[in-house]
Amino acid sequence: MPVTRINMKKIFFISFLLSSIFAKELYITRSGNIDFFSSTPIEDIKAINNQVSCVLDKNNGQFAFQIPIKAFAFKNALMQEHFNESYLESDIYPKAVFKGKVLGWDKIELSKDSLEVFIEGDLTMHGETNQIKQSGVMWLSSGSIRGECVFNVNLVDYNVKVPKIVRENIAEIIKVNVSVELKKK
Amino acid sequence: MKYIFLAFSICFSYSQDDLLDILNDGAVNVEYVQSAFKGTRVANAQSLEIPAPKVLQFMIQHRFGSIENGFYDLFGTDYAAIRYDFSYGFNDVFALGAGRSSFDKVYDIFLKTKLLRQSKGVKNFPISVVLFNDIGIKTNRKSEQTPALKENFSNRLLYINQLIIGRKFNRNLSLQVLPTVIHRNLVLTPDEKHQLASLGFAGRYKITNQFSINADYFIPLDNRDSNYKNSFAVGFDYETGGHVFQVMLSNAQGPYEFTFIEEANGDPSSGKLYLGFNISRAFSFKGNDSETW
Repeated sequence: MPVTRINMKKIFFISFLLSSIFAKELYITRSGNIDFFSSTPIEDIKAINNQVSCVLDKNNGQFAFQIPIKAFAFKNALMQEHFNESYLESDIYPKAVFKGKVLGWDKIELSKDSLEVFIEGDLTMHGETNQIKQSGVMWLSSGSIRGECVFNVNLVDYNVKVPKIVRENIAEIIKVNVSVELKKK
Repeated sequence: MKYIFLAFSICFSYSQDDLLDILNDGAVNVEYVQSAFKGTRVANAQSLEIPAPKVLQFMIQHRFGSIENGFYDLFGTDYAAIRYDFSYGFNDVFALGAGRSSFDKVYDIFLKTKLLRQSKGVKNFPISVVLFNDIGIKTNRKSEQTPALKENFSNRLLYINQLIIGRKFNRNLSLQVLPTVIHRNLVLTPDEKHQLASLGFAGRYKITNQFSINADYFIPLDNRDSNYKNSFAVGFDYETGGHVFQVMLSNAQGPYEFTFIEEANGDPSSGKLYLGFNISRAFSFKGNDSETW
């Protein structure tokens, strides 16, 4: 049945073409920003990470974040050491991962104006996974997709143990800011 | 039709795990291994660590008298030898420091340079190598044993050159060897050598995130005055958030390189050992400009 075989070839050829088209619907960055802020009456602690990678599949609104824990930079080097050694234990858990999707992606039309969106997904950090549902904003900016989001992380949810001696210095709930500029892959 | 559907579904869907794989593919970072030791000292010996960039570290190295008299002088705590130690990290590889020891009233300045850094990721390198150079100036007055101290300023000088070769094997275990050459300009008898070579060994094992057991040991590579023993120190690190607190028991009293490597006079069999502690505090001079972090 030579005819069927040709059809098969055609199908795969077409699907190959299509996949190469759809592959271009991935938007990606390796230099996204995440900073977090801990505020207590005793001291404010801030850390910045600009090595966050993120990829968004524009076809279905699914996305993934990967955050190298060691790349969080603190003003105080000793804090950075404690963050890695004692709290996030980055030798054992080197990355935090967020897998999620933008809700109602089919109905979303991105434009230059920032649009409020809702995202939902699982954040895995320090070996613990929790669901996060949060609002954020997305907009288009000269060919790239921008996204920003603010959410709170409760240290207890991620089994981060703060020793008694510094418990007064470190907030139980940490405010996290996310900002990415995704470029077409 | 079935095939078309199959082919389309293959090319359409990136699952979330696929997305993560895409992110993993392009990882290009070199990751330098950090925090092999909590402090810039293991116990007596220098560790692989230097103060972080733009951080001034102030350390008090306090050594008590011998514990052999027990409660009479509360295990030697009635007496003290002390060294103040300031060191500043210019960047990730270079630190400059100065100290002053009460024993022999030695002022010293030192450099600590990371020649090679243990790394993972794109660049994999198994060890770190740090060069430690120190010049000490004895400022004590001349005595009957040392009349030459006043004749010439250079008689007061001693030089310490040390390589610190080490590896953080895992998050708990770090080990290092310390080939050391000490040169002193003044010796007391013709039999004593100016140039003294020795080999040190040091390590730490972390028990909890805040607590580790540390030890160091030095072997002379040729003959020495039999009054002096091979130097050792065992102790622990306790980190309290702002400070690193190191407590140790050693057969050497002085915390300065020359004093503990070459002039250890204690002996476990006679109970002549010295308690001591190092306490360090870091002061950050980084600006508030977040971009420069």
